[in-house]
Amino acid sequence: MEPIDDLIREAMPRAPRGIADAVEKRLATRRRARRSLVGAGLFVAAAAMLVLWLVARPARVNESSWMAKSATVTTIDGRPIAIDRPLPVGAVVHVAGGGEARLERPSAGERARVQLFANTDARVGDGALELLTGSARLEGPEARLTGDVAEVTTLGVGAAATVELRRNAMLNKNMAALAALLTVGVVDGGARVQAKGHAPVLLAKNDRTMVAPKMPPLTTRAPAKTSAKSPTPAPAPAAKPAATPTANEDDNILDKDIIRTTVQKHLPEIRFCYEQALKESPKLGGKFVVKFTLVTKDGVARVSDGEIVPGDEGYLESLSMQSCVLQAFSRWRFPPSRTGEDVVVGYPLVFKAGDDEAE
Amino acid sequence: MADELDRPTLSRCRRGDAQAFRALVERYQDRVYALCVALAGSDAEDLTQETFVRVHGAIGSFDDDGPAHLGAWILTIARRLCTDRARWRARRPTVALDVVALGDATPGADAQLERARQTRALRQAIAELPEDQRAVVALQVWDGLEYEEIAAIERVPVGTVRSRLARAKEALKRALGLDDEERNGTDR
Repeated sequence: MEPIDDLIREAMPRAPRGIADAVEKRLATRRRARRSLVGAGLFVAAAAMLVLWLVARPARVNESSWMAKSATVTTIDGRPIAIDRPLPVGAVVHVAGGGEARLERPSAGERARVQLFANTDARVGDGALELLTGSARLEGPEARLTGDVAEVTTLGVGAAATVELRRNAMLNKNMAALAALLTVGVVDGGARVQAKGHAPVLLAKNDRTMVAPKMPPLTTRAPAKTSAKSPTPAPAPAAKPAATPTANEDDNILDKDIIRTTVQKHLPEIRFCYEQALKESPKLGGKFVVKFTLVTKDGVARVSDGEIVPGDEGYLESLSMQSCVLQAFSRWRFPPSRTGEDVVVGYPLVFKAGDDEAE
Repeated sequence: MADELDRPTLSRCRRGDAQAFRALVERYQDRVYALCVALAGSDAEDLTQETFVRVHGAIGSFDDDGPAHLGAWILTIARRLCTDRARWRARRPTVALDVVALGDATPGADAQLERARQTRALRQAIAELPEDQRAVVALQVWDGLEYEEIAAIERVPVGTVRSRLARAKEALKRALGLDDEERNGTDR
Protein backbone atom coordinates (compact mmCIF):
# COMPACT_ATOMS: atom_id res chain seq x y z
CA MET A 1 0.00 0.00 0.00
CA GLU A 2 1.44 3.31 -1.06
CA PRO A 3 1.24 6.43 1.16
CA ILE A 4 -0.81 8.11 -1.55
CA ASP A 5 -3.51 5.47 -1.05
CA ASP A 6 -3.92 6.50 2.57
CA LEU A 7 -4.15 10.14 1.61
CA ILE A 8 -6.78 9.41 -1.03
CA ARG A 9 -8.72 7.21 1.36
CA GLU A 10 -8.72 9.91 4.01
CA ALA A 11 -10.06 12.36 1.43
CA MET A 12 -13.04 10.10 0.65
CA PRO A 13 -16.20 12.19 0.83
CA ARG A 14 -19.01 10.94 3.09
CA ALA A 15 -22.61 10.96 2.04
CA PRO A 16 -24.60 13.76 3.62
CA ARG A 17 -27.33 12.87 6.08
CA GLY A 18 -30.77 12.15 4.83
CA ILE A 19 -29.92 10.19 1.67
CA ALA A 20 -32.17 7.29 2.75
CA ASP A 21 -35.06 9.66 3.58
CA ALA A 22 -34.65 11.44 0.27
CA VAL A 23 -34.65 8.13 -1.59
CA GLU A 24 -37.87 7.06 0.19
CA LYS A 25 -39.45 10.37 -0.73
CA ARG A 26 -38.47 9.97 -4.37
CA LEU A 27 -39.84 6.44 -4.44
CA ALA A 28 -43.14 7.58 -2.93
CA THR A 29 -43.42 10.42 -5.43
CA ARG A 30 -42.78 8.08 -8.34
CA ARG A 31 -45.30 5.56 -7.04
CA ARG A 32 -47.93 8.29 -6.93
CA ALA A 33 -46.97 9.48 -10.40
CA ARG A 34 -47.09 5.92 -11.71
CA ARG A 35 -50.51 5.39 -10.17
CA SER A 36 -51.75 8.63 -11.74
CA LEU A 37 -50.24 7.64 -15.04
CA VAL A 38 -51.83 4.22 -14.86
CA GLY A 39 -55.17 5.80 -13.96
CA ALA A 40 -54.89 8.28 -16.80
CA GLY A 41 -53.80 5.51 -19.14
CA LEU A 42 -56.73 3.35 -18.13
CA PHE A 43 -59.09 6.28 -18.60
CA VAL A 44 -57.67 7.06 -22.03
CA ALA A 45 -57.75 3.38 -22.98
CA ALA A 46 -61.34 3.05 -21.80
CA ALA A 47 -62.34 6.19 -23.68
CA ALA A 48 -60.56 4.97 -26.81
CA MET A 49 -62.25 1.58 -26.56
CA LEU A 50 -65.62 3.25 -26.10
CA VAL A 51 -65.05 5.39 -29.17
CA LEU A 52 -63.89 2.37 -31.16
CA TRP A 53 -66.89 0.41 -30.02
CA LEU A 54 -69.26 3.19 -30.97
CA VAL A 55 -67.63 3.55 -34.37
CA ALA A 56 -67.10 -0.10 -35.16
CA ARG A 57 -70.17 -1.70 -33.63
CA PRO A 58 -72.36 -3.33 -36.19
CA ALA A 59 -75.41 -1.31 -37.10
CA ARG A 60 -78.35 -2.62 -35.14
CA VAL A 61 -81.00 -3.88 -37.47
CA ASN A 62 -84.34 -2.96 -35.99
CA GLU A 63 -86.98 -5.28 -37.33
CA SER A 64 -90.44 -3.96 -37.99
CA SER A 65 -93.69 -5.84 -37.63
CA TRP A 66 -94.19 -5.69 -41.39
CA MET A 67 -93.63 -8.79 -43.51
CA ALA A 68 -93.87 -9.30 -47.22
CA LYS A 69 -96.44 -11.97 -48.04
CA SER A 70 -95.89 -11.86 -51.78
CA ALA A 71 -93.87 -9.70 -54.11
CA THR A 72 -92.97 -9.50 -57.76
CA VAL A 73 -90.32 -7.26 -59.28
CA THR A 74 -89.76 -5.84 -55.82
CA THR A 75 -86.55 -5.02 -53.96
CA ILE A 76 -85.77 -3.74 -50.50
CA ASP A 77 -82.78 -1.42 -50.27
CA GLY A 78 -81.73 -2.73 -53.65
CA ARG A 79 -81.76 -6.40 -52.64
CA PRO A 80 -84.38 -9.03 -53.30
CA ILE A 81 -87.13 -8.90 -50.72
CA ALA A 82 -87.57 -11.93 -48.47
CA ILE A 83 -91.04 -13.38 -48.01
CA ASP A 84 -92.46 -13.96 -44.51
CA ARG A 85 -89.45 -12.32 -42.89
CA PRO A 86 -89.69 -9.13 -40.80
CA LEU A 87 -88.69 -6.09 -42.82
CA PRO A 88 -86.02 -3.86 -41.29
CA VAL A 89 -87.11 -0.44 -40.12
CA GLY A 90 -85.89 2.29 -42.43
CA ALA A 91 -85.51 0.08 -45.49
CA VAL A 92 -87.09 1.24 -48.74
CA VAL A 93 -89.32 -1.15 -50.63
CA HIS A 94 -89.23 -0.46 -54.36
CA VAL A 95 -91.84 -1.97 -56.64
CA ALA A 96 -90.71 -1.62 -60.23
CA GLY A 97 -92.94 -1.36 -63.27
CA GLY A 98 -95.16 -4.40 -63.69
CA GLY A 99 -94.56 -5.46 -60.10
CA GLU A 100 -96.64 -5.66 -56.99
CA ALA A 101 -95.98 -6.31 -53.30
CA ARG A 102 -98.32 -7.33 -50.51
CA LEU A 103 -97.18 -6.46 -47.02
CA GLU A 104 -98.98 -7.09 -43.77
CA ARG A 105 -98.62 -6.74 -40.05
CA PRO A 106 -100.70 -7.69 -37.02
CA SER A 107 -103.17 -5.02 -35.97
CA ALA A 108 -105.97 -5.14 -33.42
CA GLY A 109 -106.13 -8.91 -33.57
CA GLU A 110 -106.48 -8.76 -37.35
CA ARG A 111 -104.05 -8.21 -40.17
CA ALA A 112 -103.39 -4.75 -41.59
CA ARG A 113 -102.44 -5.15 -45.23
CA VAL A 114 -100.85 -2.80 -47.71
CA GLN A 115 -100.67 -3.61 -51.37
CA LEU A 116 -98.01 -1.62 -53.19
CA PHE A 117 -98.57 -1.21 -56.89
CA ALA A 118 -96.06 -0.79 -59.70
CA ASN A 119 -93.65 2.14 -59.63
CA THR A 120 -94.04 2.65 -55.93
CA ASP A 121 -91.48 3.39 -53.23
CA ALA A 122 -92.29 3.02 -49.54
CA ARG A 123 -90.07 3.20 -46.47
CA VAL A 124 -90.69 0.67 -43.72
CA GLY A 125 -91.59 2.12 -40.34
CA ASP A 126 -92.28 0.21 -37.17
CA GLY A 127 -96.03 0.80 -37.27
CA ALA A 128 -96.62 2.45 -40.61
CA LEU A 129 -95.27 2.51 -44.10
CA GLU A 130 -94.12 5.83 -45.44
CA LEU A 131 -95.32 6.26 -49.01
CA LEU A 132 -92.57 8.04 -50.90
CA THR A 133 -94.19 7.90 -54.30
CA GLY A 134 -96.62 5.70 -56.21
CA SER A 135 -99.87 4.05 -55.24
CA ALA A 136 -101.12 1.57 -52.71
CA ARG A 137 -104.21 -0.05 -51.31
CA LEU A 138 -104.79 -0.29 -47.59
CA GLU A 139 -106.92 -3.01 -46.07
CA GLY A 140 -107.88 -3.98 -42.57
CA PRO A 141 -108.00 -2.17 -39.28
CA GLU A 142 -105.52 0.63 -38.93
CA ALA A 143 -103.53 -0.04 -42.03
CA ARG A 144 -101.50 3.13 -42.12
CA LEU A 145 -99.46 5.07 -44.62
CA THR A 146 -97.51 8.13 -43.60
CA GLY A 147 -95.62 10.64 -45.68
CA ASP A 148 -94.57 14.23 -45.99
CA VAL A 149 -98.01 15.23 -47.23
CA ALA A 150 -100.47 13.42 -44.98
CA GLU A 151 -101.09 10.33 -42.91
CA VAL A 152 -103.81 7.91 -43.98
CA THR A 153 -105.30 5.32 -41.66
CA THR A 154 -108.06 2.89 -42.46
CA LEU A 155 -110.82 2.57 -39.89
CA GLY A 156 -112.64 -0.69 -39.27
CA VAL A 157 -111.92 -4.36 -39.78
CA GLY A 158 -113.24 -4.44 -43.33
CA ALA A 159 -111.92 -1.04 -44.31
CA ALA A 160 -110.15 -0.52 -47.62
CA ALA A 161 -108.75 2.60 -49.23
CA THR A 162 -106.64 3.50 -52.20
CA VAL A 163 -103.84 6.00 -51.89
CA GLU A 164 -101.88 7.61 -54.65
CA LEU A 165 -98.98 10.01 -54.25
CA ARG A 166 -97.83 11.82 -57.33
CA ARG A 167 -94.77 13.99 -57.30
CA ASN A 168 -93.67 16.54 -59.81
CA ALA A 169 -89.91 16.73 -59.58
CA MET A 170 -89.80 19.65 -61.99
CA LEU A 171 -91.33 22.01 -59.46
CA ASN A 172 -89.22 23.73 -56.84
CA LYS A 173 -90.19 24.27 -53.24
CA ASN A 174 -91.67 27.67 -53.98
CA MET A 175 -94.40 25.76 -55.75
CA ALA A 176 -94.66 23.19 -53.00
CA ALA A 177 -98.43 23.09 -53.25
CA LEU A 178 -98.14 21.64 -56.71
CA ALA A 179 -95.06 19.49 -56.11
CA ALA A 180 -97.01 16.60 -54.62
CA LEU A 181 -100.59 15.47 -54.61
CA LEU A 182 -101.94 12.73 -52.40
CA THR A 183 -105.29 11.28 -53.40
CA VAL A 184 -107.22 9.04 -51.05
CA GLY A 185 -110.35 7.15 -51.95
CA VAL A 186 -112.28 5.00 -49.53
CA VAL A 187 -113.41 1.72 -51.05
CA ASP A 188 -114.99 0.30 -47.96
CA GLY A 189 -115.37 1.22 -44.32
CA GLY A 190 -113.76 4.49 -43.38
CA ALA A 191 -110.48 6.28 -43.31
CA ARG A 192 -108.84 9.12 -41.52
CA VAL A 193 -106.65 11.56 -43.41
CA GLN A 194 -104.42 13.85 -41.42
CA ALA A 195 -102.82 16.53 -43.57
CA LYS A 196 -99.89 18.33 -42.03
CA GLY A 197 -101.04 21.50 -40.32
CA HIS A 198 -104.74 20.79 -40.77
CA ALA A 199 -107.53 19.11 -38.86
CA PRO A 200 -108.02 15.41 -39.66
CA VAL A 201 -110.66 14.51 -42.22
CA LEU A 202 -112.84 11.44 -41.67
CA LEU A 203 -113.92 9.75 -44.87
CA ALA A 204 -116.72 7.29 -45.41
CA LYS A 205 -117.17 4.77 -48.17
CA ASN A 206 -116.74 6.31 -51.65
CA ASP A 207 -115.50 9.60 -50.21
CA ARG A 208 -112.38 11.02 -51.68
CA THR A 209 -109.90 13.64 -50.61
CA MET A 210 -106.89 15.26 -52.13
CA VAL A 211 -104.05 16.72 -50.16
CA ALA A 212 -101.33 18.98 -51.47
CA PRO A 213 -98.58 20.51 -49.34
CA LYS A 214 -99.57 23.77 -47.64
CA MET A 215 -103.16 23.36 -48.78
CA PRO A 216 -106.23 22.24 -46.83
CA PRO A 217 -107.56 18.80 -47.82
CA LEU A 218 -110.09 18.95 -50.62
CA THR A 219 -112.78 16.44 -49.92
CA THR A 220 -115.38 14.95 -52.22
CA ARG A 221 -118.28 13.29 -50.43
CA ALA A 222 -119.97 10.29 -51.91
CA PRO A 223 -123.47 10.93 -53.27
CA ALA A 224 -126.26 10.01 -50.94
CA LYS A 225 -128.12 6.88 -51.95
CA THR A 226 -131.47 8.50 -51.49
CA SER A 227 -131.32 11.69 -53.42
CA ALA A 228 -133.50 14.26 -51.71
CA LYS A 229 -134.66 17.24 -53.58
CA SER A 230 -132.25 20.03 -52.97
CA PRO A 231 -133.50 23.45 -51.97
CA THR A 232 -131.09 24.77 -54.52
CA PRO A 233 -132.76 26.91 -57.12
CA ALA A 234 -132.47 25.87 -60.70
CA PRO A 235 -129.21 26.79 -62.36
CA ALA A 236 -129.10 29.87 -64.46
CA PRO A 237 -129.51 29.61 -68.19
CA ALA A 238 -126.53 28.12 -69.93
CA ALA A 239 -125.92 31.19 -72.00
CA LYS A 240 -125.55 33.25 -68.89
CA PRO A 241 -123.15 31.73 -66.40
CA ALA A 242 -124.64 32.46 -63.04
CA ALA A 243 -123.87 29.87 -60.47
CA THR A 244 -125.96 30.55 -57.42
CA PRO A 245 -124.87 30.08 -53.85
CA THR A 246 -127.59 28.04 -52.28
CA ALA A 247 -126.46 26.84 -48.92
CA ASN A 248 -125.56 29.99 -47.18
CA GLU A 249 -126.23 29.35 -43.52
CA ASP A 250 -127.11 32.89 -42.72
CA ASP A 251 -128.21 35.32 -45.36
CA ASN A 252 -128.06 38.13 -42.87
CA ILE A 253 -124.34 38.06 -42.40
CA LEU A 254 -123.17 37.52 -45.99
CA ASP A 255 -125.02 38.50 -49.07
CA LYS A 256 -125.40 35.76 -51.69
CA ASP A 257 -124.83 38.32 -54.39
CA ILE A 258 -121.46 39.21 -52.98
CA ILE A 259 -120.39 35.57 -53.21
CA ARG A 260 -121.86 35.23 -56.66
CA THR A 261 -120.02 38.35 -57.83
CA THR A 262 -116.72 37.05 -56.56
CA VAL A 263 -117.21 33.64 -58.17
CA GLN A 264 -118.25 35.16 -61.46
CA LYS A 265 -115.19 37.36 -61.40
CA HIS A 266 -113.09 34.20 -61.26
CA LEU A 267 -115.28 32.10 -63.55
CA PRO A 268 -112.55 31.78 -66.22
CA GLU A 269 -110.51 29.76 -63.69
CA ILE A 270 -113.42 27.34 -63.25
CA ARG A 271 -113.83 27.16 -66.97
CA PHE A 272 -110.15 26.37 -67.33
CA CYS A 273 -110.55 23.42 -64.94
CA TYR A 274 -113.46 22.12 -66.98
CA GLU A 275 -111.60 22.53 -70.25
CA GLN A 276 -108.69 20.56 -68.90
CA ALA A 277 -111.01 17.78 -67.80
CA LEU A 278 -112.73 17.78 -71.19
CA LYS A 279 -109.43 16.98 -72.84
CA GLU A 280 -109.51 13.61 -71.07
CA SER A 281 -113.25 13.05 -71.21
CA PRO A 282 -114.83 15.09 -74.04
CA LYS A 283 -118.35 14.24 -72.94
CA LEU A 284 -117.84 15.15 -69.30
CA GLY A 285 -120.63 17.06 -67.72
CA GLY A 286 -122.74 17.30 -64.59
CA LYS A 287 -123.09 19.06 -61.26
CA PHE A 288 -121.52 19.31 -57.89
CA VAL A 289 -121.58 21.64 -54.96
CA VAL A 290 -118.52 23.33 -53.61
CA LYS A 291 -118.99 23.48 -49.89
CA PHE A 292 -116.65 25.70 -47.94
CA THR A 293 -116.32 27.94 -44.94
CA LEU A 294 -115.47 31.60 -45.36
CA VAL A 295 -113.24 32.72 -42.52
CA THR A 296 -112.92 36.46 -42.05
CA LYS A 297 -109.60 37.74 -40.89
CA ASP A 298 -107.88 41.11 -41.29
CA GLY A 299 -110.84 42.47 -43.24
CA VAL A 300 -110.95 39.74 -45.85
CA ALA A 301 -112.67 36.35 -46.04
CA ARG A 302 -110.89 33.28 -47.31
CA VAL A 303 -111.99 29.74 -48.09
CA SER A 304 -111.31 27.11 -45.50
CA ASP A 305 -112.17 23.39 -45.37
CA GLY A 306 -113.44 23.21 -48.92
CA GLU A 307 -115.00 20.00 -50.15
CA ILE A 308 -117.04 18.77 -53.07
CA VAL A 309 -120.43 17.30 -52.34
CA PRO A 310 -122.70 15.80 -54.97
CA GLY A 311 -125.68 17.70 -56.12
CA ASP A 312 -129.11 16.18 -56.26
CA GLU A 313 -128.49 14.67 -59.66
CA GLY A 314 -125.96 14.47 -62.50
CA TYR A 315 -122.96 14.25 -60.24
CA LEU A 316 -119.75 15.20 -62.06
CA GLU A 317 -117.19 12.79 -60.65
CA SER A 318 -113.92 13.93 -62.22
CA LEU A 319 -111.49 13.93 -59.34
CA SER A 320 -108.87 16.03 -61.08
CA MET A 321 -111.40 18.63 -62.03
CA GLN A 322 -112.86 18.77 -58.55
CA SER A 323 -109.37 19.28 -57.20
CA CYS A 324 -108.73 22.06 -59.69
CA VAL A 325 -111.96 23.83 -58.73
CA LEU A 326 -111.32 23.52 -55.02
CA GLN A 327 -107.84 24.91 -55.42
CA ALA A 328 -109.22 27.82 -57.38
CA PHE A 329 -111.78 28.60 -54.66
CA SER A 330 -109.07 28.46 -52.01
CA ARG A 331 -107.08 31.15 -53.81
CA TRP A 332 -109.84 33.71 -53.93
CA ARG A 333 -110.55 36.55 -51.51
CA PHE A 334 -114.14 37.35 -50.55
CA PRO A 335 -115.57 40.42 -48.84
CA PRO A 336 -115.76 39.96 -45.04
CA SER A 337 -118.94 38.84 -43.38
CA ARG A 338 -120.97 41.56 -41.71
CA THR A 339 -120.39 40.24 -38.20
CA GLY A 340 -116.87 38.89 -38.71
CA GLU A 341 -118.14 35.36 -38.02
CA ASP A 342 -117.33 32.33 -40.14
CA VAL A 343 -119.90 31.55 -42.83
CA VAL A 344 -120.60 28.14 -44.36
CA VAL A 345 -121.36 28.34 -48.04
CA GLY A 346 -122.60 25.79 -50.58
CA TYR A 347 -122.12 26.88 -54.14
CA PRO A 348 -123.60 24.70 -56.89
CA LEU A 349 -121.82 24.48 -60.20
CA VAL A 350 -123.27 23.01 -63.39
CA PHE A 351 -120.97 21.93 -66.19
CA LYS A 352 -122.13 21.21 -69.65
CA ALA A 353 -120.04 20.78 -72.78
CA GLY A 354 -120.87 23.44 -75.29
CA ASP A 355 -120.46 27.17 -75.51
CA ASP A 356 -120.81 27.80 -71.79
CA GLU A 357 -119.47 25.16 -69.53
CA ALA A 358 -119.97 26.38 -66.06
CA GLU A 359 -123.09 27.83 -64.60
CA MET B 1 -15.86 -6.51 -1.56
CA ALA B 2 -16.00 -6.07 2.16
CA ASP B 3 -19.05 -5.18 4.22
CA GLU B 4 -21.71 -6.55 1.86
CA LEU B 5 -25.38 -6.66 2.76
CA ASP B 6 -26.46 -9.96 4.27
CA ARG B 7 -28.63 -12.26 2.22
CA PRO B 8 -31.73 -12.18 4.44
CA THR B 9 -31.87 -8.39 4.22
CA LEU B 10 -31.36 -8.60 0.48
CA SER B 11 -34.24 -11.09 0.24
CA ARG B 12 -36.48 -8.74 2.21
CA CYS B 13 -35.49 -5.93 -0.16
CA ARG B 14 -36.64 -8.05 -3.05
CA ARG B 15 -40.00 -8.57 -1.34
CA GLY B 16 -40.45 -4.81 -1.04
CA ASP B 17 -39.56 -4.45 2.62
CA ALA B 18 -38.98 -0.71 3.14
CA GLN B 19 -36.90 -1.16 6.29
CA ALA B 20 -34.58 -3.61 4.56
CA PHE B 21 -34.15 -1.26 1.62
CA ARG B 22 -33.35 1.57 3.98
CA ALA B 23 -30.62 -0.64 5.46
CA LEU B 24 -29.28 -1.24 1.96
CA VAL B 25 -29.16 2.49 1.23
CA GLU B 26 -27.36 3.23 4.46
CA ARG B 27 -24.92 0.39 3.81
CA TYR B 28 -23.84 1.64 0.35
CA GLN B 29 -24.56 5.35 0.33
CA ASP B 30 -21.02 6.51 1.19
CA ARG B 31 -19.43 4.44 -1.56
CA VAL B 32 -21.94 5.51 -4.13
CA TYR B 33 -21.65 9.11 -3.06
CA ALA B 34 -17.82 9.05 -3.23
CA LEU B 35 -17.92 7.68 -6.78
CA CYS B 36 -20.47 10.32 -7.77
CA VAL B 37 -18.38 13.07 -6.22
CA ALA B 38 -15.37 11.89 -8.20
CA LEU B 39 -17.33 11.75 -11.44
CA ALA B 40 -20.09 14.34 -11.12
CA GLY B 41 -19.02 16.80 -8.42
CA SER B 42 -21.93 18.96 -7.33
CA ASP B 43 -24.46 16.55 -8.81
CA ALA B 44 -23.25 13.79 -6.50
CA GLU B 45 -26.09 13.93 -3.97
CA ASP B 46 -28.78 13.93 -6.61
CA LEU B 47 -27.09 11.10 -8.49
CA THR B 48 -26.66 9.09 -5.29
CA GLN B 49 -30.40 9.32 -4.58
CA GLU B 50 -31.23 8.47 -8.17
CA THR B 51 -28.89 5.47 -8.05
CA PHE B 52 -30.82 3.98 -5.13
CA VAL B 53 -34.15 4.70 -6.82
CA ARG B 54 -32.89 2.67 -9.79
CA VAL B 55 -31.58 -0.02 -7.47
CA HIS B 56 -35.05 -0.23 -5.88
CA GLY B 57 -36.62 -0.77 -9.26
CA ALA B 58 -34.08 -3.37 -10.37
CA ILE B 59 -33.28 -5.22 -7.17
CA GLY B 60 -35.52 -8.07 -8.21
CA SER B 61 -33.27 -8.77 -11.18
CA PHE B 62 -30.04 -8.85 -9.17
CA ASP B 63 -28.53 -12.33 -9.09
CA ASP B 64 -26.68 -12.73 -5.82
CA ASP B 65 -25.10 -15.91 -7.18
CA GLY B 66 -23.82 -14.04 -10.22
CA PRO B 67 -20.29 -12.75 -10.81
CA ALA B 68 -20.85 -9.28 -9.32
CA HIS B 69 -21.24 -8.49 -5.65
CA LEU B 70 -24.20 -6.37 -4.72
CA GLY B 71 -21.88 -3.42 -4.07
CA ALA B 72 -20.24 -3.69 -7.48
CA TRP B 73 -23.70 -4.00 -9.08
CA ILE B 74 -24.89 -0.84 -7.34
CA LEU B 75 -21.69 1.03 -8.28
CA THR B 76 -22.18 -0.06 -11.89
CA ILE B 77 -25.58 1.63 -11.84
CA ALA B 78 -24.06 4.73 -10.26
CA ARG B 79 -21.27 4.80 -12.84
CA ARG B 80 -23.77 4.67 -15.72
CA LEU B 81 -25.84 7.46 -14.23
CA CYS B 82 -22.72 9.59 -13.76
CA THR B 83 -21.70 8.97 -17.37
CA ASP B 84 -25.16 9.93 -18.59
CA ARG B 85 -25.17 13.04 -16.47
CA ALA B 86 -21.69 13.97 -17.73
CA ARG B 87 -22.96 13.70 -21.30
CA TRP B 88 -25.95 15.80 -20.39
CA ARG B 89 -23.62 18.38 -18.88
CA ALA B 90 -21.22 18.21 -21.78
CA ARG B 91 -20.93 21.97 -21.75
CA ARG B 92 -19.80 21.93 -18.13
CA PRO B 93 -16.80 19.59 -18.14
CA THR B 94 -15.23 20.99 -15.01
CA VAL B 95 -16.12 19.06 -11.87
CA ALA B 96 -16.58 21.34 -8.89
CA LEU B 97 -15.12 18.88 -6.45
CA ASP B 98 -14.19 21.54 -3.93
CA VAL B 99 -17.79 22.36 -3.02
CA VAL B 100 -18.38 18.93 -1.59
CA ALA B 101 -18.13 18.61 2.17
CA LEU B 102 -15.60 16.13 3.33
CA GLY B 103 -15.65 13.64 6.10
CA ASP B 104 -14.87 13.70 9.82
CA ALA B 105 -13.05 16.52 11.40
CA THR B 106 -9.81 15.57 13.04
CA PRO B 107 -8.66 16.66 16.49
CA GLY B 108 -5.77 19.00 16.96
CA ALA B 109 -5.86 22.44 15.39
CA ASP B 110 -2.57 22.27 13.53
CA ALA B 111 -3.01 18.72 12.39
CA GLN B 112 -6.57 19.54 11.36
CA LEU B 113 -5.48 22.53 9.35
CA GLU B 114 -2.67 20.63 7.70
CA ARG B 115 -4.95 17.68 6.96
CA ALA B 116 -7.58 20.01 5.56
CA ARG B 117 -5.04 21.75 3.37
CA GLN B 118 -3.74 18.45 2.09
CA THR B 119 -7.22 17.13 1.51
CA ARG B 120 -8.23 20.21 -0.46
CA ALA B 121 -5.09 19.91 -2.55
CA LEU B 122 -5.79 16.23 -3.14
CA ARG B 123 -9.44 16.86 -4.08
CA GLN B 124 -8.34 19.50 -6.49
CA ALA B 125 -5.79 17.14 -7.97
CA ILE B 126 -8.38 14.35 -8.35
CA ALA B 127 -10.77 16.76 -10.00
CA GLU B 128 -8.15 17.60 -12.56
CA LEU B 129 -7.59 13.96 -13.51
CA PRO B 130 -9.17 12.59 -16.67
CA GLU B 131 -12.57 11.00 -16.03
CA ASP B 132 -11.44 7.41 -16.59
CA GLN B 133 -8.64 7.87 -14.04
CA ARG B 134 -10.98 9.50 -11.53
CA ALA B 135 -13.28 6.55 -11.86
CA VAL B 136 -10.63 3.89 -11.19
CA VAL B 137 -9.25 5.88 -8.24
CA ALA B 138 -12.68 6.14 -6.65
CA LEU B 139 -13.60 2.53 -7.34
CA GLN B 140 -10.32 1.11 -6.16
CA VAL B 141 -9.39 3.30 -3.21
CA TRP B 142 -12.73 4.59 -1.95
CA ASP B 143 -14.99 1.71 -2.88
CA GLY B 144 -12.47 -1.12 -2.36
CA LEU B 145 -13.27 -3.00 -5.56
CA GLU B 146 -10.91 -5.54 -7.05
CA TYR B 147 -9.25 -4.83 -10.38
CA GLU B 148 -11.46 -7.38 -12.06
CA GLU B 149 -14.59 -5.73 -10.71
CA ILE B 150 -13.36 -2.32 -11.83
CA ALA B 151 -12.55 -3.73 -15.24
CA ALA B 152 -16.11 -5.08 -15.50
CA ILE B 153 -17.64 -1.75 -14.55
CA GLU B 154 -15.35 0.26 -16.83
CA ARG B 155 -15.63 -2.36 -19.59
CA VAL B 156 -11.85 -2.37 -20.13
CA PRO B 157 -9.18 -5.03 -19.60
CA VAL B 158 -7.65 -5.40 -16.15
CA GLY B 159 -4.32 -4.19 -17.53
CA THR B 160 -5.94 -0.95 -18.57
CA VAL B 161 -7.32 -0.52 -15.07
CA ARG B 162 -3.87 -1.01 -13.63
CA SER B 163 -2.24 1.45 -16.00
CA ARG B 164 -4.97 4.09 -15.43
CA LEU B 165 -4.61 3.70 -11.71
CA ALA B 166 -0.86 3.98 -11.90
CA ARG B 167 -1.04 7.09 -14.04
CA ALA B 168 -3.61 8.63 -11.71
CA LYS B 169 -1.54 8.05 -8.62
CA GLU B 170 1.57 9.43 -10.29
CA ALA B 171 -0.35 12.55 -11.22
CA LEU B 172 -1.66 12.94 -7.70
CA LYS B 173 1.79 12.52 -6.23
CA ARG B 174 3.10 15.15 -8.55
CA ALA B 175 0.31 17.47 -7.63
CA LEU B 176 1.01 17.02 -3.94
CA GLY B 177 4.79 17.15 -4.35
CA LEU B 178 5.15 13.63 -3.07
CA ASP B 179 7.19 12.49 -6.08
CA ASP B 180 9.95 15.01 -5.16
CA GLU B 181 10.04 13.67 -1.64
CA GLU B 182 10.32 10.12 -2.95
CA ARG B 183 12.99 11.11 -5.39
CA ASN B 184 14.93 12.95 -2.70
CA GLY B 185 14.59 9.98 -0.36
CA THR B 186 15.90 7.69 -3.05
CA ASP B 187 18.74 10.04 -3.82
CA ARG B 188 19.69 10.05 -0.22
